Amino acid sequence: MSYLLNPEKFYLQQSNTPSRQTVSTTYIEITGSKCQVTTSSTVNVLYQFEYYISTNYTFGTGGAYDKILFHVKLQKSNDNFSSNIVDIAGTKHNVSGDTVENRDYYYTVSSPTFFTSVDSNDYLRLVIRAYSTSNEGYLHQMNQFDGSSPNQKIFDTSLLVAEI
Amino acid sequence: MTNLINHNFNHLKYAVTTHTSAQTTSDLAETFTTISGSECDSYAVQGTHAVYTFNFSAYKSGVSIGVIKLEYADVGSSSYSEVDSLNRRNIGNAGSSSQFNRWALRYSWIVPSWTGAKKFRVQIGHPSTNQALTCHALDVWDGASTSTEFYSSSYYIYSI
Repeated sequence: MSYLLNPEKFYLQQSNTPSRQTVSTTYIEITGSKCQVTTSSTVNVLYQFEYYISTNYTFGTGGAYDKILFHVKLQKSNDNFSSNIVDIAGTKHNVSGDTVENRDYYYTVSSPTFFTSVDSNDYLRLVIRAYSTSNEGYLHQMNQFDGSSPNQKIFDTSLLVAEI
Repeated sequence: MTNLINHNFNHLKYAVTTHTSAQTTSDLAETFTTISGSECDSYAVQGTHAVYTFNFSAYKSGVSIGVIKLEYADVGSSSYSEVDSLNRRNIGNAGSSSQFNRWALRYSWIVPSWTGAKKFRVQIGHPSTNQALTCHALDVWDGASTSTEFYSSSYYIYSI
């Protein structure tokens, strides 16, 4: 049995009222998911992120809402995602929900967790896209709260990265 | 970014499992399956409690309700017991056979201290028949069907 006694650093990051993001069929970086791990050597880290997913509720009246189906993956980079962008194996996953009727809403908090190795000063981030143009949606913002609609509220993302 | 020095996971143990095949839970009612990648072979708590966390992915076409529980046993024993039967978790929906749920899931349990070393596992079952989930595999990726993409599960446990 082996234990890791003293992880060196915790990085905690919470976004402050992030703007609503629209997820379409091109990958975008999820606001609040990017961090730089400042180490002097290669280390293993725990990466844990929470963010809010919502139906695109701004379609015209009478139309059907898109039925959310998102692809999500973790990436790392040694140049702040300028030209060096690496998909991290084993982190690809999908998010979809109970959206059968034309006007179904789908709200959920997604909390993916990963372990990966990073080199000195590497960046990490989550990127997301929709399966098709019929599966688009929003991040961070809900359309209903406290019993009223529209009553749009923002969910702040939170990120924990810990050297282990 | 705030950098908090000197915080730590006390006596952290973790494992990442790379999957190359799907795991399907049982289609039988009330029949529990151990989720591969959740098994911690030995842990001795160093404090008043341990925190066990498990991360995995799953999907289901159609109706499914999952009941998730944490079990432990003394190392060397095959007799598992549920850590806390009041701390089970549910996932899923029961609305329509045409729905399609896909998740990256993370569950944590706070476990009171114990004597000696114990091993842990997470199990999932369903209240009714034909509600099996598919774990670890992806059915779609980048706008197309796939049978070659898998999500790595992981657990970590530490003492508090």
